[in-house]
Order: sequence, then C-alpha cells, then structure tokens
Amino acid sequence: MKRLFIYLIILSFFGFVAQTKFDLQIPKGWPKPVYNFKRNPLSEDVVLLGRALFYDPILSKNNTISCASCHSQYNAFTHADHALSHGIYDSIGTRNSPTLMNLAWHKSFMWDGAINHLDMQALAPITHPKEMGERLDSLLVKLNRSKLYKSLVAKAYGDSIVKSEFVLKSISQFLLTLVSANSKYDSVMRHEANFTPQEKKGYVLFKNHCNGCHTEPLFTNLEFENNGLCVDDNLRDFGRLMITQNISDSFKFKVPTLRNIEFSFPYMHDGRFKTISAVLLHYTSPKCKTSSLSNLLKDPIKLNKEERVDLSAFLLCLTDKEFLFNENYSYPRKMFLNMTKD
Amino acid sequence: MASFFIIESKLLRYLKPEMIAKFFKYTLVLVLFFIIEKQDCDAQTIEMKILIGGHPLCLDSNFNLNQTDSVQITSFKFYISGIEFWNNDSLMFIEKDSYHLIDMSKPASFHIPLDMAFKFPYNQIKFNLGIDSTTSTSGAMSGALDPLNGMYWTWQSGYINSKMEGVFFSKSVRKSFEFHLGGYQNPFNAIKVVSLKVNSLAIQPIQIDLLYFFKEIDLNKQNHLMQPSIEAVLLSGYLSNCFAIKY
Repeated sequence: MKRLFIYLIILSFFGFVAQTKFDLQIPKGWPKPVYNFKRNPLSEDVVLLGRALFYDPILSKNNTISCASCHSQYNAFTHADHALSHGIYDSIGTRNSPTLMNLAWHKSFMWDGAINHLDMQALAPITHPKEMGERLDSLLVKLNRSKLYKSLVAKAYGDSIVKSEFVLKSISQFLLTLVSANSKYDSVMRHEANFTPQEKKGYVLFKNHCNGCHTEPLFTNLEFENNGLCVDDNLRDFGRLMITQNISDSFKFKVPTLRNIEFSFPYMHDGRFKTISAVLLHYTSPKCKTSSLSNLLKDPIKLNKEERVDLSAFLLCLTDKEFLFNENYSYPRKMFLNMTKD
Repeated sequence: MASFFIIESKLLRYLKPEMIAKFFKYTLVLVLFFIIEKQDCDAQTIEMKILIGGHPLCLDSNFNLNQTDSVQITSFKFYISGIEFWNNDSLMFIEKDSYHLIDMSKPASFHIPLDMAFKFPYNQIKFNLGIDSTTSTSGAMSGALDPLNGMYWTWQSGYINSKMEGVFFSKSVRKSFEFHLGGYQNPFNAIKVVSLKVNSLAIQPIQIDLLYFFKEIDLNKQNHLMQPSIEAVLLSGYLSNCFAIKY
C-alpha cells in the first residue's frame, strides 16, 4: 500500500508534464526547419488547442471572424475568390491573404515580412481593425470565461489560466502541422510516379525560368522580390519598403509558394490575377520595370502559348489533395459540438 | 516525508559503505555551502526614481519646461534588460532572464530585486534600455515580455522599448504627444546601453530625469513617433541620457 502511495506521488509529478508528443515528419531532402521547436515542443493537446482557436470566431471583437474566414483549407488556407481579404464589419483589407503551409521553414511572415516569428503572426490579424478588430486583453477575458478553453488549456499546459503565450504558441503549433509535401511532384521525386510528357516539358521550363525565386522543394526562396507589377493607384502598396524604409526594397513582396497553386487563386499580393495563365502572361511581359526589379526578370521570360500550357500542366502537379482534405487540419466539429446547448 | 525515508533506507541497502561515506561528505559540503551562501546572500534591489527637473514625476500634473511651454505626462513605461555588474573591466554578475518593465503607473515596478548569490565588489552597473534583437525574434513569451503589456507592436514585430504619452501646452495651445520608441534591426536599432558608475557597495537609486529628454526635442515640431526610424533611435539616445546615479 505504501509503495503504491509512493508511486502515486511520483506519478503525480509527471502528470502535469506528460504530454503526447506530436511527431512532425520532416519530408526527405527538405532543408532544416527555421522554427525553433525547442522553445515550443509540439504536443497533441497543444495542437488541438491551436486548432480550436484557429477555427473559432471568438478571436474577433464581435465573434464573427475566425482565422479560417480568410484561410480556408480547401483553398490551401487562403481566401476563396477574394482578391483582397475582408474582415470584421465587412471591412476590406489591402492585401490578398497568403496560403498557410510548410510554415516551419519560413523566416518571416506577411507579404512584406513585417512579422519576424510565427508565434507573433496571429497578433496582427487579431488586433487589426479591418481583420478581427479585437484587443488582446479582451480576448483573454473571453477565453478565460470559456469552459472549452479553460479545459483545453488545462490539458495542454496544466494551467488554469489562459495566457497570451499559450494562445500564440498553440496557434503556431497547429500551423506548424500544416505540411504539404505529397503532391504528384513529390511522388515523382520519390520515384513513385511519373510525369506525363507534357508535365515533364513543363518541369524543364519551370527549372529554367521559375526555380530561381520559386525554389524547390518549398517552391519559394522565402525572399522579397519585385516581379514587375505596376503599383495599384488606390492601394499604393510599396511592399517591403514600408518595413525597411530602404528604397531598394520598393515594390518587393515575399515570394509565395507555388504548392497547391491550383486552389490558391486569385494570385499576387493584391489578388489581381484570377488564373495561372494570366500570371504566366504577366511574366512574359512585366509592365513596370522599376530599379528594384528582380535581376532574374530583367530579361522577360520567353514562353510561347504551347510552353505556357506545358508549364501550367506542371504547376497542377503541385496540388496536394492529402493536404487539402486532411481531416486533422479541418474544422474541429466534434470539439465545438460539445459546446452547443442541446 | 515518511515515504522519503523509506526510499532512502532501501537505497542505503544497495550502497557500499565507502559510497555512503562519500555521499555524506558531499552532503556536508553542500549544506555548508548553502549556509555560507545564505549568510552572504545579498538581497540587492535596484531602485528607479523617475523625476522631472529634479522633482518626482507625477502623472497628469503640469510641469513648466520654460516660460511659455509646459508638459503633462499621462503614461510612461520602459524596458530594462540585461542587467550586469562590473568591477573595472571584469564582469561580476549577470542577471538571468533579465527583463523588467518599469511602469510609471505601477510603483511596485520601480524596485528591481536581484538574486545575487555572493557579495562582490563592483563599480559599474550596465543594462539595456529596451529589448535586444535576439529576444525580439524569439517568439511568444510571458511575464514582462507578454504582448499583453501593450509594449509590443502587433503590425510589425518588435518590442516598444519605451512609451511616453502626454499633452503639452505651448503658449496655451494644447497638443498631445506620443513617443513609442523601438526597433531592433539596423539601421533603426533603438536599444541603448546605459552604463552608470557606482562608488559604494550600496546601490543608490537610479534617477531618470525626463527634463533632459524634453530639453533635446522641440515638441512643437516632433510629437508623434510610433515606428522604428532614425528619429526613434535619436530619441532613445536622449532618454538613455536621462539615467544617472547621484551621490
């Protein structure tokens, strides 16, 4: 009996820290993630807390807008069919919401790199008056009143209080699990499938003309580039310049990934192009060649009509259905169901 | 407690006598170490005194800068980080996890208790006014670094090293001023090292006289700074020059 008592005491110490580790698979041949997992080790309960927060409009001032409002899974976590994303009270923002995937490899966030760490990213849309319009302190009051979040935080962190660090780190954890690495392209690279002759031609064209910025395997070099788009007179968005105040950064935006491009339309930071073919046409004749234009675009990319079709065929090989329809990433129906009044 | 002794007696059964002797020797040394440490433990506290023109600063009360202009400070907060004690050229003490938010509206924040294990000589105190770039890029944190404290820019990552807000009256025209000074990336790195000479073992309070800050700027021309910039770097320098220890 005494021995049992001792074991119980020892076990109780572990009880608070023992969590089911979440095993994030790093795809073969990929670079080392940038995210420091040591400061925020993944656990299943924390990922679940983050997933609940991601899908819950409680994050917005009037409980109408969730992260998923502008980042829906079936659009590779961007905003379906909206050039500029809209938030609370039907406010229209100034940019097209970016896709969310493979974020553990990203060193900065937002089109202009304004955010330096994934943990801090959620703060921007939560507090932006045109996105969720909420204050961090009011949000914590709401979460601390919620039975659901009290119990999720207790499970995830063994704490009875919902703290901002928990909110931010758990959203990070959920986002870190959004790994897309199972497209047809990936299967071909693993020698499990073959490109069609057309896709193969497209891949060669991609290697010659696009890979400089949309670098494999992430299909982005994670840098900021000016791709020769003319500035929109209404938006007057100068991109990276507004962060660094360095004139050589004018009209530069973060290079987006091309993974799941089939579903992440419309394209560009302001969503001005609706189709892949419109994007390819732009690259064959960039309209505004300012001094900060990417070196790789100084000579326009030459692609004839047939080549553009081949290249598009390759780009469709970057669609990862397993990612787009992965139930672990979707709305946590069961969790929220328990909260409804019967 | 009883259960602890049960474990111990069971353990002793498996240990050799030499090992037990060794164990007790080390325990004795450890116990002595703690006793000595306890005696020498120097519960040092750094005190901050926020002044304006030599008088204690009161929030929301008027201070005459000159014959025509006066200021009212409504809020004043700043970060102190990386506290170090030096003796000539040798570093004697570094505070662990050294991040402190001093808030004019929270008098408890004027006292920074330091956890020093030993007494040591020193003649200089150094610390940062603001948060360094490594910490600024390390993600979410709690305590003094919790973004809940309102000292974090949500639209562009980075801590606000110091925040001063208020109103000023110039020839009876009322204007507001807001200085949110921060930025961790060059050329807009606004963190400032404050280094103060100390000439006795008891630390005298650190005085922060904001009059030196207001003497350097023209509030009529410059009254709103809310993002990293060359001006923010400059003004952070003026603020860091307000720190002094007087004997």
